[in-house]
Amino acid sequence: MPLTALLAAAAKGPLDTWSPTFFSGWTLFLPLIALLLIVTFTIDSRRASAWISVFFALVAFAGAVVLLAIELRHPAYKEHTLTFLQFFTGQSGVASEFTLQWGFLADPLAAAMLLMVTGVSLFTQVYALGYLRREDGVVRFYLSASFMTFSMSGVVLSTSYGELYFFWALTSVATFVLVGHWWQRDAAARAARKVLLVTQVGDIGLLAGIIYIFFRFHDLGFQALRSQYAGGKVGQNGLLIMSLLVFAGVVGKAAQLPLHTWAPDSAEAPAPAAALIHGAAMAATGVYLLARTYPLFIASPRALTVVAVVGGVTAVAAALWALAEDNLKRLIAYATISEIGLAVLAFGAGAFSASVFQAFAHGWSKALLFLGAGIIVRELRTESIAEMGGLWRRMRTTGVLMLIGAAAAAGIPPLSGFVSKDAILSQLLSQPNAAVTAVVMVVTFLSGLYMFRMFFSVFAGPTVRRRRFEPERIRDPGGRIRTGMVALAVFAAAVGLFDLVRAGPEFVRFVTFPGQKSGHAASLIGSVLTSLAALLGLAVALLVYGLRALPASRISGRVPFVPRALSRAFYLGDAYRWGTENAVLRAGQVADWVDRVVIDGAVDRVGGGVAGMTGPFRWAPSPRIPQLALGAFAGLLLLGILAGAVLGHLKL
Amino acid sequence: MNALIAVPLQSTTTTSQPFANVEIPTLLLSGIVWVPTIVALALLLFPDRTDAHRARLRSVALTAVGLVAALGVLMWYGFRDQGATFAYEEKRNWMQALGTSYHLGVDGVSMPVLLLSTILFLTAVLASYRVRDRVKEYFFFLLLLETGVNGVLSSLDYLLFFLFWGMQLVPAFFLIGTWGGGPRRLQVAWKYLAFGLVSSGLLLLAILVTAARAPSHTFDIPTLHDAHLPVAVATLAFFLFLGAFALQLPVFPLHTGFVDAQSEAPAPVAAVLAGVVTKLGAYGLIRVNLGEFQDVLHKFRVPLLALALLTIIWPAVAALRQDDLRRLIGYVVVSRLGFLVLATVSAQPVAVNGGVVLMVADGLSAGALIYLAASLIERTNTRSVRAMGGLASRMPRGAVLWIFAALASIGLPGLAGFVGQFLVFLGAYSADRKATTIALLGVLLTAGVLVWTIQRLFFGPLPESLGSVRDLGSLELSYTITLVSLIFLIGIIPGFMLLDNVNFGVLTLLTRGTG
Amino acid sequence: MKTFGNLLVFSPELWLLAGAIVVFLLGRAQEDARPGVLLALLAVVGAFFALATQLRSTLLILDGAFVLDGYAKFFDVVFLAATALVLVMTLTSAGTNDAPGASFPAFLLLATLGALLATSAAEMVSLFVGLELLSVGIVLIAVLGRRSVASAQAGIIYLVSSLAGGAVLLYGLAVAYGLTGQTNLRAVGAALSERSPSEPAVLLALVLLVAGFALMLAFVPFHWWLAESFAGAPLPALAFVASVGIGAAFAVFGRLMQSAFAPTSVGFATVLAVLAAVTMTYGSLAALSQTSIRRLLAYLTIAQVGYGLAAVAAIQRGGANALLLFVLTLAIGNLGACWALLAYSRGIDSDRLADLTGMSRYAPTLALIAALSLASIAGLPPLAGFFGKVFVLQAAVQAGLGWLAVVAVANLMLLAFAVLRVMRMAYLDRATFEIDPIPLGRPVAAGLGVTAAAVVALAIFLGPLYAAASAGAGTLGH
Repeated sequence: MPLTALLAAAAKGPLDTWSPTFFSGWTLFLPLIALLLIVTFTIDSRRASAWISVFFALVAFAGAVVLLAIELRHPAYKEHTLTFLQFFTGQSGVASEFTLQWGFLADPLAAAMLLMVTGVSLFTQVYALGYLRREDGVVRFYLSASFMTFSMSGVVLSTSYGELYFFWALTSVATFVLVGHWWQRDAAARAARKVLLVTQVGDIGLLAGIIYIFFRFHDLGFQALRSQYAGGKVGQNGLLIMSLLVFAGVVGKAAQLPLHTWAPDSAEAPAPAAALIHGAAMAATGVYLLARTYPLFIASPRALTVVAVVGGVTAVAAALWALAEDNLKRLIAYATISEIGLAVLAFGAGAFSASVFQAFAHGWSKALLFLGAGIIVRELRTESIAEMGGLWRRMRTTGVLMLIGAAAAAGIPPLSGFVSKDAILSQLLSQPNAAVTAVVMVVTFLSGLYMFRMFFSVFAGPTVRRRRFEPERIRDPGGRIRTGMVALAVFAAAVGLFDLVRAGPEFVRFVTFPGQKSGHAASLIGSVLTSLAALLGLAVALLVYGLRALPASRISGRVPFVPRALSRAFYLGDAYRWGTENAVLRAGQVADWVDRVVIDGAVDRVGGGVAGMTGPFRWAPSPRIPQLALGAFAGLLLLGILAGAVLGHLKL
Repeated sequence: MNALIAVPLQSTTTTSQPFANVEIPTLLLSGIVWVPTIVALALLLFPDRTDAHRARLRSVALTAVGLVAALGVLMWYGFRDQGATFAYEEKRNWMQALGTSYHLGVDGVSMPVLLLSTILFLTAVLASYRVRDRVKEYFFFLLLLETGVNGVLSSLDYLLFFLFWGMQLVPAFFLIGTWGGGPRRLQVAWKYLAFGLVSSGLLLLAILVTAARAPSHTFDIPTLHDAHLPVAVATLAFFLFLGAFALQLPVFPLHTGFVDAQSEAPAPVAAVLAGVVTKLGAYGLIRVNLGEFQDVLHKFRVPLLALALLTIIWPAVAALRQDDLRRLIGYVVVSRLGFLVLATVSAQPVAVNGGVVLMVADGLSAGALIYLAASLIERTNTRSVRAMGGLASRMPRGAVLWIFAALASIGLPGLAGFVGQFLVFLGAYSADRKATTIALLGVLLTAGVLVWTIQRLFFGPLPESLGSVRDLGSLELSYTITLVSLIFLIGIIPGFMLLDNVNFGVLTLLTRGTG
Repeated sequence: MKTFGNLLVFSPELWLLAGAIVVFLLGRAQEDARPGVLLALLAVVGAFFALATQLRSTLLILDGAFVLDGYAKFFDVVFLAATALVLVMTLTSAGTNDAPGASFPAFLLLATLGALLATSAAEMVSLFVGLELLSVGIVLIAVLGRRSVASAQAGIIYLVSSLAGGAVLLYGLAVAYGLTGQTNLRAVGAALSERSPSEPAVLLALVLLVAGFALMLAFVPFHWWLAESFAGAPLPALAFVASVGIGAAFAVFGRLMQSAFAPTSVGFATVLAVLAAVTMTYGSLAALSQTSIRRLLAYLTIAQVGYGLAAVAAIQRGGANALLLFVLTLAIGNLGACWALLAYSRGIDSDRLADLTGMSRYAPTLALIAALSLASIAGLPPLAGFFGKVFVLQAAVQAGLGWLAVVAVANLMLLAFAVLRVMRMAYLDRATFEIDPIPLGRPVAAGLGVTAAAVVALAIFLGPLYAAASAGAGTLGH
């Protein structure tokens, strides 16, 4: 199919060959080609497989860059569609023909997200060249990474709900495979299972939404549906249900409350895998879906409110959990949940392009943090930040890179995180809603706090001494590991600069939402408030964790219950586990019992009854002639009575 | 290839000569139905004493099913969407006075399932290398079973339909009861037989009632299509048919016999039972209950939907607590069959199209799962899921194939189950929203069971007792990979592989007369 | 009317008679039965060809005492074929202690003659004479066939029951004669149609009639004798009773119900249907739990009789057609099953069902034929018995006896169980003892091969057969 697409595009002449959809298709299929090449030819060679995957990721990234460049010049929505399925339904009107299409589109939103997806994928794969060198399953990692990149690109480039769901579910599986990379570990195996099951809940919601949309509109194409939501064909309640069901998919995939529990567990994945999941996948799928279907959400203001509330609650809650988390990778995972929650909140509050930028910008820094954490965990052989410290002296490069990542994530100016949070706040300030503004401020403050708590705990202070552990042997990574991280750090630092210096086309204006004012009112107040909140967080963290002027234990000592509740993430995960074990599995037990004892018992009873009926015949008397004559007489009598009764009854 | 392109019969009148009208296309279906029986009878003449003899029996059987599968593929290749007619139609005078004739033919609904059947039987013979005891009888019954199944799928005459329906039952009984694995195999076989006999009995009554009360006394299925039976008779016939097909399917709460059979039957037989013999029930539901008694179906939509939902949800829940791997798969298969009931009851073209795809898809994935489970059980010497674990390190190929088959069973995009399931949901939703929503939850449960099973079987630390487990051999790979690659192909290009040819069959089935 | 003018039409019966006489004369001279059997076979073949020359017309003989209509001719062909098969298969047993006496073929021919006469009887007296000839012939075969106590007892039991049946039937016929003053069946029918069906005298006639046939055909509650006489009867007699004996009784019963009691039998159909339901249920339930081969065959036969009775109950609405085909399938199925199982049972010298294990090893041909015939008896598709039963079911449904069809279908399941149990033992269970393979004589192999082929291939020739049966049923008229 891709070949046909390419040929079809090429036939239109040199100008059309450079059409944006050509590059979308290019970028979409490269990881798949890499995957197939590896499976077919190099499945036994770690080196060749890795390099094939990296090479194709590089070319895909280049494709994404070209696509972005084209879209910067000519921002337009274009799509190239092919038929997946088509048949007649024998009904009349719009329903007479059923068509499922697939294809790839090109517009600024897709271009930006595609850049992030392919970029993060490329750099984590470069990192993994070094990181996984001595691990088992290198080929498997590159296969899953290519698969993940392919399915994420597919989500981003989908032209219809049907196609989107197709790739959407593939990302679930890719996440499953990546999280389960170290499947020999029981924890990883459980985490992988949890990923697939919890996201499946959201996926089913999305599927239900898609079914409902198809039921009402008889169409699934984004472009065709764009103008139909608000057309009055479906009432407000219908739109609310539709958008909430679609949002369920977002909640599952972007780990929003209450389906967030898989995300912290997914930190069981190896560092590059986790970076891929948290940096690219969650944002690219979750927030992107909201942005792609924004006409639906705009048509239903109540749904937008729900989105905002869920996003806000998630952002605050996850930030608090991150604050209490001791496991380095889980902490970063909570940070991801919180950041994406912020993007969701921004979307719900109407700051569409700022929301997209938040998701875009956060991906780089989060991937960087996971990669750095991977190095640290490997060197220290522990994941607990309580057992870390003093690494600044021993791992200077990592320290600098982590600092950039943490600062970018926390929203310290002028890095990307700051720009995105500034954009959100600025857009929200133009439509005064004190609560939302406050939440954004709080989250920004908290992100500063937990990010630098993490940073200071790991890099400041003395090195914790443990048995059979020599801090002297810790060293900075070099080579490909560093290359990947540096590249990510550059992006994490720089993607906001365009907006900041207001030189080139601003990202927030570049990704437009037709019919919505872009609303970036270059608000100075917004910038000041954002930087203040972030810096305040930094300052508190410095006080508490960096200088240890106000040790954390003193604070948590005062309030007995809250820290524990925080570190158990409000016991939500425990509640789910309890529910699964005591409701679902118990139901299974009951069903099994009913099947074995009641139903099967009844069947056996019937069978036994029939068998029992044959019992008397087994000892059938063997009558001799006198009995025979007697029997004949009795039978005759019986027959006569029977005949008389029947004929009398029939009144013949 | 021109000769293979199915030509509909020019005239609807039967030829008076029994052996006139002998053209290759019209004989293909007879071939696909009767070649297994002929070979089965021929097998009886072969000796069965030494290993060489057994190998020869095996290769003869393999040749037969291979030939049938080749015929199936050729027919599929030549199959063109026939619009309102049947393809490869063969109609011979049989008992004209009684209104019954030897009438075979396939349309878009039956042809895919027929193809599935030929492929599954091919894999079943391949997978039967473990059978060493009474090989001759084993293949004899397996081939008879294929005749029965293929015959049901290609009959266009109710009496013939019943004939084949009965023919598939007895071989299954012998196969389970004699070559089954566990100590309960005999009891289970009798139970399976009891369910099947009741099903046949109901079917026979249904057919007699329909033919007796139809305006034209005939058993011909196309002629009876849209026959205007009196309401009471139609309702009676509908429920008799429903009972027969529900028992075969099986729906809740008639599934226990099937699940038992799944755990006791030899793996190839279990795969055939779960993959295609159960689909006969679904096929009957679509062909007869939906195609002929749509009005009655609409009238009893609500209880039938409840039945579909129970069939989806209940076995999925019960599967959660299964420790016997084969029983677990049996439950999952039953749960998946509920979607076919849902598609039928919804009576929507999109859903029925999806149902046909789902029949094939689930047949393939059920087959693959059962074969792989058998390989696991054989290697680990246990059926208990709890006793397994970490097997991915010992048998990576098995793990990958299993994951694909399991994901296909939960409707993962890119695999065959997705297309069918998606279409069933899209179509069924416009028929009943609540039911479809609940059915979606059923998908979640199945997913839970299968994903949990993947984790318990393949992931985590490897128990010491399983340290010497080998990976799949090339023979096992040959048939599981066949199934899994078909699952892939249908998932990626469903139109080309299946759906383009299903559409008109479904439309014709659903179209009612204007009267 | 020309009384003897068309006596030539009687030639099949004359062939049989002549054959019987010749065998008698020869039989006194020598001990070996073989020549007699061959002669008898020749007579049957001759009768068959004589019948074949007049297949196209319906003829009245002896002032209408006999009628050679399609109905009778269909049965005649079946009975002659069955007799021929029995004769062929007895050729082997010469020399064994089970050898039939030299006069056996003669009695067999006489019994067949009785069956033919009864089937084509159009008048009460000839009908009765035919039936009595049949019974006496069978009793003589049973008693003379094997000189053992069991055999004699079987003969006596058969004699008593058929005598009792004949007597009761005679009473019924007498009452009918008293009511109408007619002996011709059609005339009786015409006369009875003017009377009220619920008149006690008519009722009495019918009840007596049905009771008579109940004794001959072993309906429940008159079934006891069948199991008893099967338990001891020599193989040829048993096979003959199970095919021709029961078939002829059905033929007569059907004709009586259709010709003479047509108006009354509509209402009486319910009674017959109840009897049919009870009989088939009893037979199949009992068959499920038997431990003796002979008793199993007896109860299977009783169950079959129930199905035949169902066809008789539905005789006004297409039942005659079903009855013809059913008796055909019954005859070939029973012949094959009885002979194959009992030949093996004789070979291993055991009547225990459990001793059938290993049958497929020691006697593969017998096992195969037994399996096919039993499957046919149980109505497993696509064998002959299945079609026989389907026609009965269809007739029942069309006659408005839907409930009977339901019972019949339920019994099909029980029968399948009973039969599959035996097949499993014969084929799949491990043998419990070691013996040498049981030799199978060529004649038996040929005869059984014919029955097996008929059981399997009937489906293919169902079209012409069905047409013939329809034609036969059509001539029965009212």
